[in-house]
Amino acid sequence: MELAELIEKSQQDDRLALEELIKRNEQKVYNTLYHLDPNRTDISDIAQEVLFRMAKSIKNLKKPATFKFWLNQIITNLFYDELRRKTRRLNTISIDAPFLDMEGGESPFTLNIPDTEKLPEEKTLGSELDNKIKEAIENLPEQFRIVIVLRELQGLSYEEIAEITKTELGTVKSRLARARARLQEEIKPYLNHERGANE
Amino acid sequence: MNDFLTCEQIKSLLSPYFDMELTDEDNNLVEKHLETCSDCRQELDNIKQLSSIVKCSSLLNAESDCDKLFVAKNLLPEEITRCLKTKANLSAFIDGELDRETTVEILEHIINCHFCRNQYEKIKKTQELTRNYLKKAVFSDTFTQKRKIHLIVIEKIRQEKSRKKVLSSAAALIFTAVLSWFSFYQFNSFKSDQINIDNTKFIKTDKPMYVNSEEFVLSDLNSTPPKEMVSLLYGD
Repeated sequence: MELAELIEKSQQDDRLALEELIKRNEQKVYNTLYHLDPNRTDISDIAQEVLFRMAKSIKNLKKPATFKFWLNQIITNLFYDELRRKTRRLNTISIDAPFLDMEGGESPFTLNIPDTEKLPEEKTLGSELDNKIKEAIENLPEQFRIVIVLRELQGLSYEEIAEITKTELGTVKSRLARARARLQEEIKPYLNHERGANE
Repeated sequence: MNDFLTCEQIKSLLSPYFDMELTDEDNNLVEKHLETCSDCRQELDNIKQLSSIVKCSSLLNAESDCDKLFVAKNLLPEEITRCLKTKANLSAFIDGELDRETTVEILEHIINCHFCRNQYEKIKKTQELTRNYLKKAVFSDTFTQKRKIHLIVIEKIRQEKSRKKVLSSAAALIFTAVLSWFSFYQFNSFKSDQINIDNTKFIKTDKPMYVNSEEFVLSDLNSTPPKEMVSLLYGD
């Protein structure tokens, strides 16, 4: 089913259509939140809240064509709210308390001590270059990271990014340019290597 | 100087030739040689590019100081200001977010300016690598499904809907109860008045009951009261 049709049916209280809409956007929402702040431990909770708000206020969406922009507004607003609450990764983890998943059973991702080994899913990043880019993005100031994620991952225009982040168009342009310059600086050895390989 | 110069000699003169520091005579010699020698022409092109790169890089790497830039803009060729403008707009140019006129201007400059083209390629590469990294399925479907995010959200929505139903049912019930009680109360008040009327009895008394004739209304003025009524009224 096309997205526009799915949205229309969801707005008409079609339960199955709404559930399908939630399923389709689950991964994208999670990935966006992850890249906005990879150090958070409550990304699942925030993703749940984003999807819940999306479902609750789907009837407020007047133009289905603007769904991507509207959803990213919800993601960013909630992200800013969570930033203000400042829930961060715990620096210490109890070695006695078991790490429980949502059903109360012991999670397969049990952490007893801070583990420097990558999570299985993070290993899909693979190459050294990807890890370098990941690190470079994490080191960006928050405002730069947000515009990079909204532009490169979500493909929003400068105007849309300006509206979502409540800034001017010129500010978005400047932040993107400066973010890319910083990233370029961090991955310079890899850029030179790639150029050498291509020549 | 000899009319005929070797390429080696010409190449040593190319730099001052480019800077217009040669005498007229040497200038003519160089130009005559360049007409027929592609090798030296290529060398001259290299010098031109190198010169613009050096001029560009010295400004582009400088601290952004408005006064310096202002002075630089006045002293250096127009090309340098184009380099500065290109640098400021490269990111937006890559994203296709510039107006048509500026886009064409930047594109023309990149084609002609080796240094800015180099910068463009680096930023373009950085942008591609960043985008590819972000778009990779860092977290696969199985991962998010393990977390059962969508199931939790769907369950939450169902609970919210049934909570709303319960609340509205309770409100309707309370309203109905209040309405019923009110109606029942009103009905009972009316009924007790009726009983009073029903319980009214006509009793026979020894003494005649005197009824004020004005209060005694007959439906038909010409009709006579029944016997019972007469005895009641006037006694036997």
